[in-house]
Amino acid sequence: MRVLFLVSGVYPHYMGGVSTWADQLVRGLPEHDFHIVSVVSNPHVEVRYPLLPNVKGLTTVPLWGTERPEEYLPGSFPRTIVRVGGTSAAAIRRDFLPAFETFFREAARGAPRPAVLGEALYAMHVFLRDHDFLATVRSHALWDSYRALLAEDPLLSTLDLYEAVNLLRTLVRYLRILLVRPPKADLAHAAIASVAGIVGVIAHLEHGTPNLLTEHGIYIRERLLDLLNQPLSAPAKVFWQNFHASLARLNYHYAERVVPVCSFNSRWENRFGVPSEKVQVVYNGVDGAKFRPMDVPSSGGGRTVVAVIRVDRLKDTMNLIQAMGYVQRARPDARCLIFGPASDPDYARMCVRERTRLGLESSVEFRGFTREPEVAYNLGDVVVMSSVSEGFPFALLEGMASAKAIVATDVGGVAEALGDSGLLVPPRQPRALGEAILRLFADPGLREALGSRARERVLSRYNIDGFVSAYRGLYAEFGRAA
Amino acid sequence: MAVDPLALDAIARTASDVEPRPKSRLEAAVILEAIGYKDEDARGHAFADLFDLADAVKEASRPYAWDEPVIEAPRRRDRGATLYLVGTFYNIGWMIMLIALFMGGQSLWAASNMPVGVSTAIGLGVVLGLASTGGVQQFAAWKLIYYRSQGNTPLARYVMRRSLLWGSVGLVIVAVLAGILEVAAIGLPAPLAALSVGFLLLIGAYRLAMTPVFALKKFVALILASAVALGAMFAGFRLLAWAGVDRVGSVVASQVLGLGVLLALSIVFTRAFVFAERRDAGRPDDPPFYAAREMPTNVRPPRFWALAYEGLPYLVYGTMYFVFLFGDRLVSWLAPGLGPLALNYNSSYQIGVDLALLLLVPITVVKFPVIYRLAEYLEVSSKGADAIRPGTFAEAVARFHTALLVRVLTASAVIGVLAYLAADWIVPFAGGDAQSVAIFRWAILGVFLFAVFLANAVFAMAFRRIRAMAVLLIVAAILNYGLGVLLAMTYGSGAIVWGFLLSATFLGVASFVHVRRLGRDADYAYFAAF
Repeated sequence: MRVLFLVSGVYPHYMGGVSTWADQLVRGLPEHDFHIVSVVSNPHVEVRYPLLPNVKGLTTVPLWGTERPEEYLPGSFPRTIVRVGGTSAAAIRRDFLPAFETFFREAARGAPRPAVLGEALYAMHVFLRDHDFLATVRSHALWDSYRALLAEDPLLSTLDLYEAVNLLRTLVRYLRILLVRPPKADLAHAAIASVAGIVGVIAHLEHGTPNLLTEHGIYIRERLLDLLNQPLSAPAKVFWQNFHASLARLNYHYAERVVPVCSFNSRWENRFGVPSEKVQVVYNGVDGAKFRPMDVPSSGGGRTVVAVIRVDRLKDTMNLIQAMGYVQRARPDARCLIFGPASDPDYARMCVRERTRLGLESSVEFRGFTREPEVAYNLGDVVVMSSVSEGFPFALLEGMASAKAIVATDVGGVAEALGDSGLLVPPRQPRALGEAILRLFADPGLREALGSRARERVLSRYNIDGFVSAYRGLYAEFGRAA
Repeated sequence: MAVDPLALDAIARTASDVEPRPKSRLEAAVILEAIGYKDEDARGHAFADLFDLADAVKEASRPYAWDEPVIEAPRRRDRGATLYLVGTFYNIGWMIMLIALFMGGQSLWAASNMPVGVSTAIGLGVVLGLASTGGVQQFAAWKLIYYRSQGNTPLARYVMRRSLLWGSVGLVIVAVLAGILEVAAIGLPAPLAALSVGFLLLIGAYRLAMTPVFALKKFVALILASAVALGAMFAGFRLLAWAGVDRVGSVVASQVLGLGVLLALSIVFTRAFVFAERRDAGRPDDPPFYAAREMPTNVRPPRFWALAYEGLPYLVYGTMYFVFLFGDRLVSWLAPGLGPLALNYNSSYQIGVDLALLLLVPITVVKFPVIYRLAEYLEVSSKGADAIRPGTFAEAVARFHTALLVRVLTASAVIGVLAYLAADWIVPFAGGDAQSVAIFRWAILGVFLFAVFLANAVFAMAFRRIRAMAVLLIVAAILNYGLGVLLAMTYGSGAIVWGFLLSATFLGVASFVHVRRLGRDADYAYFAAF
């Protein structure tokens, strides 16, 4: 079966939990051929995972970092010259703007009619096959149309010119995805309900390709969290909230089956009108042979907390640092090792400052990215996850498979994964997190019991074989070759 | 079980600490989840689930809503004095000529007391060195700025490396062709052709190497390089003269020394600013575990034609700038009596127009602080204008353009009048004769109009309207050459300056009309400049 695999910001260009999932999937289904469409922020990213023999194609779509899309996306000089010549204001007005206006209205309202949004995107894609992208999106006709669209919206009409310009410039960056002409495939499998899924929608409308959608975190939920920290005015924030909601609705609408990685996520999908019978949970799986209890030399004498997390707002690293402040008061010999890179330098600096403020320089160590997470987990007496948002995190499953006692915030699918094999605390409550860590420090019997239970739970429920066979079944059920 | 309004109010108050104005039920739901609420908690407060609670919280948080200010990163403000100083050194090529003419009795153009053959050789080298690299310099500078603004430093570095490589290859090809042409067609003796080629290579290489320093506005480096190069040139000249080296030898050697220092420092600075970076522009206090923006060593090369297509107007503009500027001078060197392609450096003409061209230095000094703040001004003005009624933005753009032109015109008029009145003293001091004085006076007017074009061009380029400026330069260059030949044949070489004056008039007027038109549609122009 030919699978169009649609990803964004993950495999094969970036490391991380979703990338691990994607690698396991492609590796586990050698009988299927994959064509990967990878949406990346910048074209300078490198392929981090070796492309397996069943990966027959890779289309990298940089949304930022280029001027002319043809710098990387398919195109030839003569064709571009012909396209530029044919992209007249009249053609834009006649064949592009009606679709753009429908798209914008739907996007600004959260896509109450996802099928209409899909048709509009497809019409724009068809236009851009024969017309020049830059000449279209920089055209006076588009700007006039956009201003008229703003004027008809009571909220967006209050935007100042600076924000309006930036909004449209950003929007047309997202529209670069329309330049991808999907190859014929038997199934389009999107790993996120974002712009990457638009390629699946186009494949469906062009070739009748059925769509499958896997959701790890909930895309719209994570975008909403992200937007909370963006320096935008309220009308611009509302637009982007609705835009991302419209992408989610679009993906849900065209998917034959929506596959969250935990039941918790399906609540959000249901809220977006996905019927329960269309939702099927498939849990992530980890390699129990790789992640296992092992003896590793420990450098410190006291009790150790390990967290394998990015230094990131969503992971709420600050929560963990502040929790260690409480822990230190009771157990001065306690230390905390944080393994993971930082994606936001400002937030990383805040974390370092907080560590200094609390006098934890010698007890909280930022160790950066590790290539040996299986060793990292075994350096700790307790493994902690302090996030404010999670899907069904690999870092948690890996810690469990390493037979470690876990303390985790009760977000996303964490409770579902952990069951009764670890301690749950509310998010953003460092005192509660610190007290749970101290409780485990003080009770070796409890640590051991929870660790054994956790490993047993992972081996029985969250193994790679089960996860791969679930997708084999989904591909067989919904793929066109079936 | 009924909803407890006080409990709901407490939840809303807490939620508004995270987001002062929840704008939708979904945003409120995300906030509630982030502060630890779950479906069970919602049910405990008599709601069906978290989303229903979120609905109620969104409404209940209205009294706590406040307009959250959009927090922007602090700006670095350059002081006016610094900008004037930078403006002084921005046209370093002209600066060297100015100071050299008046203090050393020498210049890149070998203004006076030099054999005609040497002057012709150096002059040709300078013209071809500037013209053959001007386009690459504009192109590379634009790409460097664009890709860095897109967070794509690796590609910026890649394009800069390739531009320097291919720019150098082009420079060498031009040098070889120029050498052959100078010997075979123009009739220069081989040693003078070699001298010409040497200047061509030095000037061209310096221009290429200096590209990132100009593009990234590394002002301290710019001033330092200029000051050290000028110091080396004058010190070298005095030392050689004191050691008894003849004038030709000391002039040529000290110029080569000055340009060599400039080239060496440019290479050092370019390495430091562009190629020594291993990370994106970070800060010294970035934590060591912050490695996400570590730059890859391998860059996937973009398609060359796609780069070239977008960069073509920059290549044309940068090249035609010098092709236009030197048009009348080259025409003045034509020596039909010595052969169809023979060139003889016309000292009288050259001193007149070059001295006038040096007026660009004080004009640049005056306009630089204004132009430097254009991008910031556009941002502030656009924030004060409604998107759907952007009339105030168009007015602000027009005001800025008017203020810029008034400043340029005032500076030009004052400096021009002073220069006109002092012509009888200035021109002979630099080695000119009576014809040079007359040419100087006409050329002042031409430079005055060329300064208007330059101000308009910078303004237009802030809106990415470089294509129009490139077209204007092509037309102006044709006018400058065509009218120059026609006038020289009709009225003699002294009249060539009228060709420069008329073509500069065309540039000044046409660019003014273009920018005024652009200003009428300023909101669209502002949007489309990406």
